[in-house]
Order: sequence, then C-alpha cells, then structure tokens
Amino acid sequence: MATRKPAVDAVVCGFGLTGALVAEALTAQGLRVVALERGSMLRTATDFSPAIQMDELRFQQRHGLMVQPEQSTQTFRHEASGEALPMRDIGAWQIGTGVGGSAAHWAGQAFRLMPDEFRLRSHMIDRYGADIFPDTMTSQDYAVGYDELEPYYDRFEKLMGISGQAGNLRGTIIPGGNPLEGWRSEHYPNPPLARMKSTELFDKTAGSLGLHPYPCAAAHASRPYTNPLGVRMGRCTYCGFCSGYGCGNYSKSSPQTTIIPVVMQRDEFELRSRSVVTRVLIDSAGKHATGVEYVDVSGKTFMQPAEMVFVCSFTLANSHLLLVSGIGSPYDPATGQGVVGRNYAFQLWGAANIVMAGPGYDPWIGAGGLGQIIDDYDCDNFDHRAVPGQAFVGGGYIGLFQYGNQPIGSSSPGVGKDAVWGSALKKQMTNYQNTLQVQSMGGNQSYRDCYLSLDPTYKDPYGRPLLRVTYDFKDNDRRMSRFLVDQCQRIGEAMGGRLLNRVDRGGSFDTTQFQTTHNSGGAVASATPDKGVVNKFGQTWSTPNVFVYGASQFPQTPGRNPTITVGATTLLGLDGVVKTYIKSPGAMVPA
Amino acid sequence: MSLPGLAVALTALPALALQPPRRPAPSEPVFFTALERAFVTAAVDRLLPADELGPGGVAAEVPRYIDLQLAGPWGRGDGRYVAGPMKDGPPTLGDQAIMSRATLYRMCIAALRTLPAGRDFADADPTARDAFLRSLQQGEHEGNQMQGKKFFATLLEDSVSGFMADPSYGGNAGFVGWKLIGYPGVRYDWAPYLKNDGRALDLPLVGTFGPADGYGLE
Repeated sequence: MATRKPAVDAVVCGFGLTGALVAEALTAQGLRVVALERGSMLRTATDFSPAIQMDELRFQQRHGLMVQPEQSTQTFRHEASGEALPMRDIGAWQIGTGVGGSAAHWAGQAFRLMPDEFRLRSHMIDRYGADIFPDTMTSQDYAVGYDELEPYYDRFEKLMGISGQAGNLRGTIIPGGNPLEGWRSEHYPNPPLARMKSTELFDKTAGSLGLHPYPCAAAHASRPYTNPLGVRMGRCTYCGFCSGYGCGNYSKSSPQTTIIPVVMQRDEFELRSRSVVTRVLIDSAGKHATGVEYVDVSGKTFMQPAEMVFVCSFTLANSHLLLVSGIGSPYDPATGQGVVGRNYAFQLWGAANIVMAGPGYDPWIGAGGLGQIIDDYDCDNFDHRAVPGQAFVGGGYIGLFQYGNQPIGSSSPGVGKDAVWGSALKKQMTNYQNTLQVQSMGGNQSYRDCYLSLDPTYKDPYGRPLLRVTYDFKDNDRRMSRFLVDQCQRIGEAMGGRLLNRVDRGGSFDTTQFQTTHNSGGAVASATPDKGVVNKFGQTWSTPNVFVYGASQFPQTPGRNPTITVGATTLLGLDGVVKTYIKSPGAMVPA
Repeated sequence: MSLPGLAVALTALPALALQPPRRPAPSEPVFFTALERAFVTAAVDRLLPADELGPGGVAAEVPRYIDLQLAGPWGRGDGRYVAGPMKDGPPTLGDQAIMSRATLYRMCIAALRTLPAGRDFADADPTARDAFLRSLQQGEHEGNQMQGKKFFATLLEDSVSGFMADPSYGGNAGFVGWKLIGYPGVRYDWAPYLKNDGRALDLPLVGTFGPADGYGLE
C-alpha cells in the first residue's frame, strides 16, 4: 500500500536540465514543487572535484555518471517483425543519472537549430518537390518556428553562460561568426573559447575551400560569469575532462552550475533523490492526472498527489513513463495511428580520422565545445541533389573539436579480427599527438517503422516492461552519412593529413558501439493531436495537466546537438504555463 | 567562529585517512591463481611487448591491474542487465551472456592454457605465444567451454586499459603507458599552454593523485 504524501502544486519526474527549469519557473511563482530523481544528489564541490572526476577509467570508460542497465535499459530490434533483446551493457548511447542528468556529463556543444530545420518538411517540399521524401519517412515540421523560439534561445544562452560568436545580429552579418545562422537578438553572453593550432588549421583550410567556418558555441564559461539568477561560473581551464565527466571548476554549464543552487534555497521546493517514479496516476475518466507513484531507496512505495505532473526524464524514459502510465495512445506502425513512441530517431555521427605529418596539437588540452564548425552541409545550405541519383533529406554540421583526448580512449586497438596488438599496437598508440578528427553530426529522419513501445518479455526492477526500441539506419540517412564523411575526408586531406580511417554509417545500427546520446522523438510536440503527444507548450493533448519536456519533443533528429533547443523549447512551454495555465488550467491549444 | 569540535575530530582521525591513496603493494594475486596469473602475464607480454619503443605491459604491471579489476565490481559484472530469458542474437544487439568477466577469464584460461603441442602457454616461447594468440583472435578456438575470440578481445581491451589508466588502479606503473604516447598527465589548468603547439613541457608527469612518487610503494 502506497504511503500518501501531502499534495503539492507540481511534481517533477527527473531532476536534470528540464526538471530544474520547471522547478525554477514554478517556484518563482510561489508554487510548491517536489522533484523526484532516480539517482543521487550530485554537487560540484563534493562530487565533481577534479581529484575525483579527472579519472578516465572510472568515468569515461566505466560510465561513472551513467545509469546502469540493471536499473534502466531498453530492448532493441532492427525491424518490427524481429524479436527484441535487452541492451545488457551500456553501448550506443550513455544516459546520465543523478541530479543534473545528462546535462551534468554532456560535452557542452551549444548549438541553436537553423530556421529551416523547424519547417523541414515544408521547406524541402517547396524546394525539391515531395518526391524527395520516401513514402515511409514521417519527418515533419516542428510545432514552433525559429522566430517564435528566438527569445527563449536568448534567455537560455544567458542562463547557461554560453560562449560564442554571433554571426547574424538582427540581420547584420558579423565577421568571425556563422553567416548561415538564424538571426540573433543579442550577442552570446560570453566571447568564444580560445582557439588552438588544430582548430586554426581547420578554420584556415575550410575558409580556403570556400566554406564558412566559425567557433562552436560552447557551454563552458570563457570568462568569469554571473547568470541572470545570480549564479556564478568560473573561467574554463581547458582541462579536457568534459564529456562523460562533471565539471569541478563551475565552468561547464549544467543544472548544478546555473539553476540548482538557487532552486534548492527556495522554501517552495523539495528534492527527493533516489526516488524512482514508477507511473503517473490518472483519474477514472483518463483525462486528468492526480499525481505520481514512486519508490524510494528503501523500496517503499509512495503516492505524491499534485495538480500538475511534469515528465522531465531523458528522451527514452519520457516515452516509457507515458506508455506504462497509459497517457496518450500508443503508436502502431501497422496503421500509423497513435502517437506515443512515434517518430523515434537517433543520429548518424561520422568522422574522418587523419594523421598529420608531425605532432604539435597537444591533444590533452581542450574542452567539449572547443571547435571550429561549418554549416555549409546542414539544412538547405547545399544542394541535396548534388550527387546524381543520391539525393537525400537531412545534413549536419562538420567540425574539428579539441576535446581533450584521454589516453585509454586514444589507444583503441580496434575490434575483432582486425584489432591490432603487439609492437604494431604500441606504434599505433604513438600517433596520439598527431591524429586529428574531422567529424560530422549527421541528423536522422523519422520513419514509419522506427518507434518506441513496451517490450512484451523483459521487465525492469519495478516489474514494468522495458522500453523497446525498433530502429535501423535507412538508405536516405546512409547516403547522407556517406556524403558528410566525404566532406570530412576532403577537408582533412586539404589540411595536409593522411586518411587513417572513416566512420560512416553504411551498415546496420550497432547497439554496442558508442555513437552519440542524441535520441529524439517518441513524445513529439505537434501542431495537431494526430501528429504528436504534446502541443508546443509541452502539454499533453490527452491529459492537459501532464507536461513532457526534452528532445522527446523533436519530430526528427537535427544535424547538431540538441541541448540548447531542449532548453529553449522548455522555457517557451513554461512561459505558457506561467502566463496561461496556472491562471486558467485546461488545454492551452485547441485540439 | 571557532570550531573546537572539528579540530578535535580531525586530530583524532588516524593518519592514514589523511594520506592520498597509495599504489597497492605487490602481493599475491587477489583473484587469479598462480597458474592464471602466469597465463595472463605471458599473454600481456605479447599483446604489449617490451620493444624498441620502450617497456611493455608486464613492466607496467598490467597483469596486476587485471587481477585487481577482476576481483571487484567490474570483474563481477555489477550493473549489467542480467534478467532472463537468455537468448542469442546478432552481435549488433550486444553480449547476451550473463557470464561475468571474472568467470570468462577463469573458464577460458582453464580451457586454453595448454597449447595443442602439450606445452603450457605460460612457458612457451614468444613466437609460439604469438601464434596461439593470433589463432584465438581468428576464431580457431570456439565451442566446448572455449570462447577464444571473446576472451582475446577481453584480454586486449583490459591490457590497453591497464597500460593507460591512472596508476592508482595498479597498472601504468611508472607512467610507462603515458610516457609512450607523450601524455603529460592529469592537470587542472591547461590555460597557460593553449599556444604551446607541441613544444616539450617542463612539467612533472602527474596522475589523478599526484606525481609518480605519490604512487610509490609503502
């Protein structure tokens, strides 16, 4: 029997980035908020100290900040007729757990999407005709447009202390920035990070090829910074421990370094960590949530009544919680009906690794967002029919990052029969200081038969079905990946490098090889209830007091990293909640 | 504000608690039997040999690193999803076996330590050991308790990790692995070196817990 807790105005399921934004916005209005977080409390001073975090084996190789499969995993199959098997080890993606979630261990590449991306389907049809979309491709326009989202991008960048160079300030092109970007109302709050020899080389080479290089916007403070909430960040030290690690220097933008210190001091707020929300509770009519059920670390079950429920987990867990709670109609690929789990997409990361003639790149120095980028092969900045017979929808940024390469990850012998060992491996390891990587963050379109559902066989520790991912790469996206990596290779060779190897996604999806953590969709934000789970405010069409935030709102995966758009869409949604919903609860967009 | 209670508490702590972690002293293996330790040492000696590029995996104490790892949560496979039913699938769906890494080592060493010629792998000459390791990698020892390909891949992965991980884990002794590739160690602030452009650094090598003598043996 569940123990009933005192009722609150809002309960937040998951205390990562979107959960912290919800808690801040609602407690600022005087609402009482309880956040329930599966993992532990993680603080910069005590958990992210450099003497703890700067340990590649524990954090990057053994996934010290990630959720372990025994707690939460998915089953996977490549096609809807196949039998799914559980992902027993961490592999293709790495999902954080604990306060801060994946926004504590992210690399910090802080991209906005480009205006065309928000009307991808309409734009591509206007430009190329409907034939460019295969029948099975279900990619669609976003529920919001760039102009509507711009003020929230701006707010979020200031909240997070993003370091970057504006390229288009209210229509004026600024030298040194990205001339292809959407308009910005204001400059970034901090100037770009330092450049290094590697990124200067990419910049010079791409420029000489007629491309448009610019510094990646980075979620690392390039100087001491105080955000609009009064939280202070320290200057990045380029220690090179970003992706997979918590930042001990208060430099990387995370919920810990930007929002949580303020929220934790508010009387209206309570955090309960190590508390797993097992389902959202719905009234008998099925139109109204009454709260959530959760299990704490001792195994006791509680019921937390609330007027509003905010589902703020990672992309995959958002769909899972909706499905196990019976919120919204589950998607059925046979009929195309239903919405929960629809338009799941991943990302097609690719790269050309090149060996330079000599060392000189100090690869141990870096930051997750320290890079030079081109957008010439994303959105509609290039002809998608450039290669005859190989037209595709999609694209992605191409860039060179100086992340800070750690010794184990840089010494991989390869896999299987081709793995190198013996003196040959030691010799290969010595390329550490002269290997550079030109990478592409290829987007991924959505397809009728790529979706999320509940697994009929495998269960989680709470007896719930695991989430089942049905997914594979498709020819359109494989063509895109090959095209992007061709460009990576061309630039890398023009830099004076010799091709070591290519990573493109020509084959089938491999759950064992880490690619990116950028999962999208499943609880898509849509203009109409037949094309998604939530409206542009993140409010579910089916159950108006349940809200869902995160990249689960994306209708397909863009050709860049999601976090800044996750933040901006959450702020837009919360603006609507504060201005409209809490004064007059009900559907905010007519169905 | 005075904190007499805190001062008392700190002085009352045993001295050990205030010391940085020390490199574990060499000792009898924690997980391996003597036979197993000999097998792994003989394999590591070929996977990462001493050669003209410098010391190899044995000098870096990689076998001790593997032994310590197998004795702990990594060896036990803590955190994996192990619920049934157990079924085989394509390699792209990942390892479906629930056998722990520690058990894989124990089972495979028992099944594989005697070479076809009847000699013990650990006593064989380098050429014979290379040939056997190559045959493992190429899939010539599968079935009947033998998982040669998987065991080879595991040994190789663990050897590289032990060669390159922070020395507090027991391998990379004397920073042998990091010296090979020119990794200068773990430093909190590289900002003064952003324009170093590959010039030699006049800095001592340091790990997560400090310079080389921070990992010295008691």
